[in-house]
Amino acid sequence: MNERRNIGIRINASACATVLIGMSAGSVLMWAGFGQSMVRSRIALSSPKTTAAITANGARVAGFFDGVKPDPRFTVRSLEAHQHPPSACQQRTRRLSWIDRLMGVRVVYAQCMGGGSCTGNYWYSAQYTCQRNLPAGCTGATLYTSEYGGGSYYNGFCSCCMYCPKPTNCGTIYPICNNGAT
Amino acid sequence: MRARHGAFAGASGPWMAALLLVAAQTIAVGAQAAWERVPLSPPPNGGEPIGRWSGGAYLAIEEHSSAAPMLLVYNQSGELFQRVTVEIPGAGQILILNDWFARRADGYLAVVGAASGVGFLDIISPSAKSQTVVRLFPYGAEAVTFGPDGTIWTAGIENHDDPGTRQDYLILRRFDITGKQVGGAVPRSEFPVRSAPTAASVLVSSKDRVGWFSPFGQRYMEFTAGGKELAAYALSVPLVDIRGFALCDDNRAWLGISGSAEESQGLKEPHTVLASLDRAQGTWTKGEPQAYVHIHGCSGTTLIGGSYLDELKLLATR
Repeated sequence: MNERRNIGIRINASACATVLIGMSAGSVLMWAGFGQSMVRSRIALSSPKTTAAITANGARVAGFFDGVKPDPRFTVRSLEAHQHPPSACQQRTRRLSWIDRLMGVRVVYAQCMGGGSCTGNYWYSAQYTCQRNLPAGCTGATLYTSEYGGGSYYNGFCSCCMYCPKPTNCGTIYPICNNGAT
Repeated sequence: MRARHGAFAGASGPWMAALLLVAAQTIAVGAQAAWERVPLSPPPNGGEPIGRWSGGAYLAIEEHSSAAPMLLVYNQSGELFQRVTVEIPGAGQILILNDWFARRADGYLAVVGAASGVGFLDIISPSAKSQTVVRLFPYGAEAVTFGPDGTIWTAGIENHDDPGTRQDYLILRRFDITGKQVGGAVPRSEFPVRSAPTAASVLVSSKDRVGWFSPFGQRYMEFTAGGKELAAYALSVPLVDIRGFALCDDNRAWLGISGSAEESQGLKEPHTVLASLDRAQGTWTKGEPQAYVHIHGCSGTTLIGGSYLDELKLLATR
């Protein structure tokens, strides 16, 4: 009887200890996370209050986009209509989402996503390797040759590390800018 | 006379010397790849492009494709000491990728990217209270660094760079700290029309020169602070195999390379081989494979890299 009770006490004690250890571990983790966010918030977020926009010649312009005309080759409608190539991760084609349309692409100006990143007549989708279990493996874009018109442009950003559940060859650089030319 | 004990008891002089030599070599080899780990506190968010070491700090980017990407600036101890948002009035989306940002030792930041499709160079003051945004159109930059004289170097191509276009221009451009272009180098015509010499390229600098590594151009070039070409070296490495590039203050250039096709296909654990430039031969000398690390840059003669987004790794190269 005493032995049973002892076992019961021992079980209860070990269960309590487990719970306590778990709670304290959880607390440690919680406080660690809290501490990290405290550190982050303690570093003030700076946002430049004054902005001067100039051209490369040093000429001041009223606004960054002043004088830049939209390129008729790129329209929001064409972007919206275009199906992105299937991602190795998602295995489905992708259109610009409503949030992309809302937040990302409002007006398409004279060029898309930087000079070398996509000049419009060609788009390219390339897979690259996402390093296994290595968050730092998101290395951006890769192109070797273009299947589309011979130009080796690259653009966009990698989806690999953000969306890919599997670590291998899962990234697809999907173009934001194109005029639907495939 | 005291008796000798232990593993070396009875060992003769030459054997002892040989053992000591082997031990010393082992220690030396081990020391060669002995990266010191420095945790980043707090770490940047996952799923973002790799950061870089520049101007005595580690720079990481968050929300790299958004209306307001944020630069995180860490010191060599891994402590976050500055957070700066990159905002361009009127821009719905700003894209900033790897090596598209740099820091000067006095705290100036230079960021290149595309704001709603228009190429820009953003020069942010050390206090981050003011910025000058340079509209680069029709040029768009895909790499940036500060030269030894404090000027800003960019690598990019122009929007009219469609196949068939014969208009020439300079790929590398120099800007003063006010944003005015003061020079340039490397005509576009040096590369085939249908090529992307600036895509994924990296600009680096040391005490007396600027280097430009162009994976698609298959070369590494160096320039004086004033823009005069010093040298060009052939370099052909598939882009997926590149694990970062660095130029140290002793002018040793380092390239991180992944190992094999098996690795690229995910069939093998990733690792990194460090290759250093042999200037006399114009070739790249590969070291031994080691655990995966991506090279972020160089501080003096210490390589800075990282295996995960939440840490830095430091390796003394001499």
